[in-house]
Amino acid sequence: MLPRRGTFLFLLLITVAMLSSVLVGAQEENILRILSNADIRTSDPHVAYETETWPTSALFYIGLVRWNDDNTALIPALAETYSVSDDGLVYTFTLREGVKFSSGRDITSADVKWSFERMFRPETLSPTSYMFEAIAGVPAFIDGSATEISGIEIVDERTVTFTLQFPVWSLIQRFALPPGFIVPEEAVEAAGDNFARMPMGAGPFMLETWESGVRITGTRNPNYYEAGKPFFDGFEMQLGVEPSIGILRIEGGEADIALDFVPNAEYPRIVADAAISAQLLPTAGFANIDYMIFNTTIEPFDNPDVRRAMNIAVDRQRLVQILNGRALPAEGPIPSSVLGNNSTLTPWEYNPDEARALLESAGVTEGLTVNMLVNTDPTNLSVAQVLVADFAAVGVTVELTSVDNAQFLDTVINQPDTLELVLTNWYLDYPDPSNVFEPLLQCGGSYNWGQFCSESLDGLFATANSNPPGDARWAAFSDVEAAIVEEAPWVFLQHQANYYFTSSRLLIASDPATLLRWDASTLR
Amino acid sequence: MQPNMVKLNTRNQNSFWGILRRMPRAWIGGCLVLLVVLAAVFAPLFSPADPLQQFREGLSATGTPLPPDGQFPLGTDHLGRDMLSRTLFGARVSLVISFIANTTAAIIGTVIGVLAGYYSRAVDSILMRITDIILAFPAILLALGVGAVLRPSIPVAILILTLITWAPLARLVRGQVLSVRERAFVESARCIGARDRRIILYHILPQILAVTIIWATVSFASTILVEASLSFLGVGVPLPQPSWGNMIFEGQTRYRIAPWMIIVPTIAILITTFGFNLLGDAIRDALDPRTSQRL
Amino acid sequence: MTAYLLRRLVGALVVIWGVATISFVLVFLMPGDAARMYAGPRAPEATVERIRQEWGLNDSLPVQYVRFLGRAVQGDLGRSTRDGRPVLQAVIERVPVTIQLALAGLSVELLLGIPLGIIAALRPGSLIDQFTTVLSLVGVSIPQFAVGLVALYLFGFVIPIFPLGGYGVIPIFPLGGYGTIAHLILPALVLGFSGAAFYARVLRSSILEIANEDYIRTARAKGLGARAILNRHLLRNALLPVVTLIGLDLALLLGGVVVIEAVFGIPGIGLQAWTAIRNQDTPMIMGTVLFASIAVVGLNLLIDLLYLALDPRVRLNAA
Repeated sequence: MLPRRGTFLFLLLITVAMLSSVLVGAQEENILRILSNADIRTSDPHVAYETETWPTSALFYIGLVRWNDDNTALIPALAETYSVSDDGLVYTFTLREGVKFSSGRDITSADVKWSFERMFRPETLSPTSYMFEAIAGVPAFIDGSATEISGIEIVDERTVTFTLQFPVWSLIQRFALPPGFIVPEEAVEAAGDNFARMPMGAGPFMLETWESGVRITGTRNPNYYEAGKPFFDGFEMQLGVEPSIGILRIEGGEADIALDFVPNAEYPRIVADAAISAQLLPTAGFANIDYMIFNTTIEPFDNPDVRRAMNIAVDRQRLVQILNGRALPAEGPIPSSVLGNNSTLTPWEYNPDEARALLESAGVTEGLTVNMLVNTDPTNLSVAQVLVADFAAVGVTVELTSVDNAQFLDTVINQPDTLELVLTNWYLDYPDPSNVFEPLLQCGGSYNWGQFCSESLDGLFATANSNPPGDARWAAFSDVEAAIVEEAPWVFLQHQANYYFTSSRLLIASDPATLLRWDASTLR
Repeated sequence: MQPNMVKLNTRNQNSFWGILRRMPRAWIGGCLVLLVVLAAVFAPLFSPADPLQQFREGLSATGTPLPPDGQFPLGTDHLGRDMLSRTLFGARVSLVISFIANTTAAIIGTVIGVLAGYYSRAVDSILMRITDIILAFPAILLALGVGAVLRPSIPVAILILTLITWAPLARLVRGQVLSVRERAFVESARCIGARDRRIILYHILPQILAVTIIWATVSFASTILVEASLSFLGVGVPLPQPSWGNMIFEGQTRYRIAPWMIIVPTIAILITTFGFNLLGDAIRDALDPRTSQRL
Repeated sequence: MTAYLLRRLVGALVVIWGVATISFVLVFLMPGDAARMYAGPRAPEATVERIRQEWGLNDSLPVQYVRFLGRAVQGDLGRSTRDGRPVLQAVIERVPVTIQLALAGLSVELLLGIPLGIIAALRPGSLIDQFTTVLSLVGVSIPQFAVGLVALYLFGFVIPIFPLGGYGVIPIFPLGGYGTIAHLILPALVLGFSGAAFYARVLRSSILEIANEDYIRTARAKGLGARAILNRHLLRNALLPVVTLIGLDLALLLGGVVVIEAVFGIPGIGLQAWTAIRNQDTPMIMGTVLFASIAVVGLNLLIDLLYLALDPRVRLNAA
């Protein structure tokens, strides 16, 4: 119904627009193209704590140590050498000669001290500062009675020592994490409230532009401590990209990698397609466990027999099938990729009849109805529904309450007495078994929502944790894991294998600390 | 205008049922609606399986849903459950929710719209302010707010959907009433001294009935889909009980490996919508035959 | 007339205030701990408490409400609790994007809905009528998120005509600093296709009703053809309910915009609001709600005024 001239103009407009969009999208060979679903709310390594913000902070910053290429040991990064005293109380780092921030300024031990102190300042509101709380002098610094952290000592221009109040054997691994990244004072001052979006550090890239919610671009840091790296001239990160669409873009060669793991719905298709299955990159970090918590303070879950029965009632093979083979049944809380895991244990064997019998003898009547809390993550919902079916088969009726993550957290943290069953997951920050026991299973642990408390287990854990990394430590934790499994405070479900999807041209590795090695990424 | 020709038995032919009976639309629409309602009512009879049962053989070896075939005439979903059974049982939930929500919203909306349109400025102002507030209110927030205070369930979903739906209709109805109010026949009724209630019921309501019925029938389909977004927020029909809305929610991202997971409930919604719409059109035209005459 | 306008303006302000208040209370009552969301689940309670103090979350509802209202009136909508950016700035940055998308969607709805409605009305009960009915009903019955995904897959990947989502920049068409038509076509189509049904159906019914009015019969009797009647007499009046519909549609469009922005990756306020809600980012939620309600109320006001201009009967009644 449009007049003819108008129609012609309209079509012309469309054609030009489409042509230009093709031109604009023309590839720049040497730019790393990243996608993210979530908006990056901050690149500040002392504040970042999400799956998408950790790798982002690693674009701009780096710390004293990092993981080696095999992810087996920690090697120096900004530091040239480091050592830990035999008693585990003193960590000494010597910075590399002439190592600089991207602005060109030399990094000194004063910068290291300032950076760690900054993390503990109240106005930083760091959610991860607790990782370094064992440093001597921290409590006094936090409550204001001290103006500096006495445990961090500047020995000379390039040497700094950290003295702890008590040995924490996993501490060295935490130096490789974003909370251990070095942040320069002048950048924080200059940016003021906007520092989250005006990063400046010693990492592989420097910030070029930051359009909030839309796009972040960066260029190579000419002062990066490793010559010849990064390979790429710069990067471009597009935000707000729906994961399924991101996969399409990467498949089509329009992007190189997405910060979001491959969604459940896409995984079977990719893995089955020989043309692209090689582009799946397993994550080295974020060893994890899916599990269902019992509120151990209420009946009948205060009875270990009941808890064991419910463990036996779950068909873990089916869960693995639902997850398209992307998981390993869990025999206990420690992922098998983490040292300290008990390799002699096997997952509870699926036996609904035995479960039923055990429940009966424990006095659980048919028709027991309980509530399971779960968030709205699609994978969790699928797992939850399988559990509902499994428990129904042994006479336990489970009602699902699925709530948004905000409400979920509020309920589990602030109203733990209303809980009955909770389905949740845990991602390890660093590959040490203490990162599972301390928060989740210790009496009063910050994530111990089921209020499980066993003095003897706590004792076992304390003994195991006092060992420095080595065979003794792993053996001791192995025993702890066996004891935990016997108590069955949870239904142990599975460990998921998470994958990134990369373009065919990209060669990149994953690391346990920051998930992606940006500086080492190259083209095939 | 036809000259007044005398016809035998004109009364039956021109009565509401008479007209309706002769409209093919009424029959087709009626049959579709009947089909859907019967499917919902007799779901246990027609379903080959329990909608909640997760079949071992319902997934491929790699854990992907099975396409329509043999044991599963409409395929399976991501947990190995039979799509046909879930669709039939889902019909119950979705139809009930959508019907109750829309009817309630239609009643509330019409009442408020009529009162606002017919009566004095003060009444109009107050009612319209309330309506506007609900209208301008972001539906997501409303859904989350209500769902957060009350535990998600079917009655809560109905409540949320009703709250979201009534306001646009109220405004539309008010607009219609404003126009109709000034028409000649209403004026004359007032002149004769007819009371307000009589005027509203016998003169104004029939005029706006058309708009209301249209709105209700189109809104019926969109309500089912809004229920899908409620599932996104976690305040829809609680899983694992199926509703067409949450079936779409669970199937959305799997459009490449299992397109039937979305296609099946969508077609179900389409059939339902089409049936109700045809029927609604026919009823409206039978009530007021003029609207079926050509221009 | 000015009295009427003033009354409507005051009414509009009352509505905006009402929306803001109810939203505030709802957000306040919603379970969820904003400070905890910011600090993350692993932070110790002490840190979270510190954050709560700083944000004034421990104050009672009336205190927080008055504080919010007082600041809002001065133009200070606070800072996002998620990333610390000033809310007003953050919203203003993204509003043009959503406006473009909403307008594009509305255009599609009208471009599709109006012709469909007219065609259906010209031949009521015929096959064409049925067909247009079905077409418009399909739009309402399909889930937008899924359709968006499929559309992108088919027309962005399999047959790469359109870009795979996103919101590019073209030097030739500034359009407020963003946006290319190519990036907006598919989202607008998905957005608009769904809502076209309402317009088509309402217009069809409206035309048919008016078609039986006396003045149309007179025109008929005069010998005017259907087309002429349509253009000269009918449409003006038949379009009135459609105009009302646009006003209502805005609120519905804004709801649909959230889904479309999420699927296509368009950086508008819909997506921003969605993120804010999931993170209990109260200032951002309130800021977006305020903006959205101002937009809807303002536009409805315009529509009412338009009605006034188009329908003399309403004008007389108003005066």
